[in-house]
Amino acid sequence: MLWTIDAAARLPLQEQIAGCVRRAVADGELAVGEQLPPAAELADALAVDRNTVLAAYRRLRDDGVLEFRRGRGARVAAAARPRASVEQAARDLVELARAQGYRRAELITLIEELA
Amino acid sequence: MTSGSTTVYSGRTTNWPVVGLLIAGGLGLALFGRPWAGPWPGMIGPLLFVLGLLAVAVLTTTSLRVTTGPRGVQVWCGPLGWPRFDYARERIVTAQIVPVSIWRTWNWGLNWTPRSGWAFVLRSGPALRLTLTNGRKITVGAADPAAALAALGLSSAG
Repeated sequence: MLWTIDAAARLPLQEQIAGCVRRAVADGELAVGEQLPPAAELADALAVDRNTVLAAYRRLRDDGVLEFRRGRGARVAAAARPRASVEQAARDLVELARAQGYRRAELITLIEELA
Repeated sequence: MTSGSTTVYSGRTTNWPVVGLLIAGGLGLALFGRPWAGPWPGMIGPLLFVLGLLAVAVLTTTSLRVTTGPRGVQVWCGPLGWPRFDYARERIVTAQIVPVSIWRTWNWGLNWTPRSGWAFVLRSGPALRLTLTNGRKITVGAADPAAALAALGLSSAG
């Protein structure tokens, strides 16, 4: 899978890394049970701190996207797919709305009208 | 790609049929040869040697972890990630996608030939071929060679 992060972006790096995993899970690029690269290796490749990757992985575990197993690293959790895809779509929407100058209340009103 | 953005590819390939074959072969040999009971006097040493070779093969040549990006290409062999190979971006002159066939050339696993150079290949299909500044060629059987090539940021060379 491809990991793209932007050090100049407003979104924190750990959120960007978590977003890469969520997108890959939603797109089916990462299958259930697939192992993610060890945090130290990914951090080295992305030129970020290991703790940034670990924070992203922990966040994904708390959200039910990943599961950690002793000695087997971080894997895509069985229940990851539906929740991850909706959540990632919402995150993408929030980012797009921010970029287009929407205020929080305006975005919430828009979603309420649609839902 | 903007100046602040970094793109990295990571992928893992595991050849499960070969893992199964090697483990089954090792178990069969161990049960048949029974090195602990010694039905074949004088064969215990060679038997343990072959079993050791099979164990090393399972641990080093059945899976491959590949990362490509601005730092270059890193390859970790086997579940333990050893041996590890690191090709810095500055050392890579060209990168391209080439078809490989493990049946035709019998170059499965981690191997070296004078013509093709080092190869890390677990299955037939497209693979990433690097040419280094010293002229050496490295073939990496990444799970998604196109994405691996894209993250490397080198134009494909024929």
